[in-house]
Amino acid sequence: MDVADAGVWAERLRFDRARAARNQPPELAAITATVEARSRDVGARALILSGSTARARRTRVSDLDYHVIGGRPEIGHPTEDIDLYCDDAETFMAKLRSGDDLVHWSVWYGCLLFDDGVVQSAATYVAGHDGWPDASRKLRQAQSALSFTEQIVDSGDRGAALEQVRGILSLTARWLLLAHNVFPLSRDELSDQVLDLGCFDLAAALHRSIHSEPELDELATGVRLVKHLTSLSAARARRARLPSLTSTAD
Amino acid sequence: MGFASLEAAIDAIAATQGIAIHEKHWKRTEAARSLHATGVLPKDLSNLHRSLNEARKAVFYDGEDPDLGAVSIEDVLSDVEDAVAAAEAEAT
Repeated sequence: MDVADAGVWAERLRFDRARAARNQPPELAAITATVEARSRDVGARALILSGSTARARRTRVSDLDYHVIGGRPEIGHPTEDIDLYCDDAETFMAKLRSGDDLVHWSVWYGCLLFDDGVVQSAATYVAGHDGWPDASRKLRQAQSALSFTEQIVDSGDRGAALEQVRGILSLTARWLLLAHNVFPLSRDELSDQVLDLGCFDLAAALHRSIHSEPELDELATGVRLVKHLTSLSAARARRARLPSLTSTAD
Repeated sequence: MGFASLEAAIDAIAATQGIAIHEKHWKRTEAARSLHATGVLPKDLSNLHRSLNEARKAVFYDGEDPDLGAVSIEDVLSDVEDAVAAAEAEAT
């Protein structure tokens, strides 16, 4: 597929708009319509519906994610948790070249709602340079978020702790997947993806952090798991289990 | 931690007023606005809540230093402490 071809790209735009429409219930589609209108109003060059909604894998903890290139729309008082990532075109391309996985994700898996050619250029660049996100960036993010997450777990605020632990488990999963040449998809797909890698503990912890209500001691175990995995090389972490979990199982 | 404290305070006060949060950040933002409008909170903390949530995500996912714009960390802490005090007062 030649993404530099105008016909191919126009077809992607048509396909993505249909996909976005299919994946959103009316209340989310209305928010997206507002974001699109306001993005156009501020002269944005492209808008991408991203994350779990683009993948049709929303869960009870999903945000509504957008990537706006070339503008920052004001969206007032949304009736959903919205993540609005805004980059100017130069920053968008610079992030792509430096291996920012969010930008790569938007280019390949996002639902493109409009594009003046800036995303097409990005896709052409990635295709021509065999571009791949920087796995070590996710490792650094997971490691740097560990201390804060530990503090939240120690504070006893279970709701906040669950959100943070879910975050570091996701970052760790994305690191391991990228390091093993697997592109991390949406959050709800990560547990199956790391299970395929052989990361059983991580898969289970991540799945429970999304679909269950783990208590604080289980969340603390999640923190220890991330601390253990991120202390290893990606190759060793792939087969590693948390020592105390292994001995308990024995 | 300031963000977590503010969220916990909003949750606690919202619960006493029958406002459902369902662990959604945007509902806390709206609750902060509503609690001020109805006189329960002396100050509208909705913008602070939204700013701190954005800062949290930037720090957590992008490794960026928190950017609170023109607001000083002292002002943030003062507002959060006031919200926590209001929550404690509601609880008693």
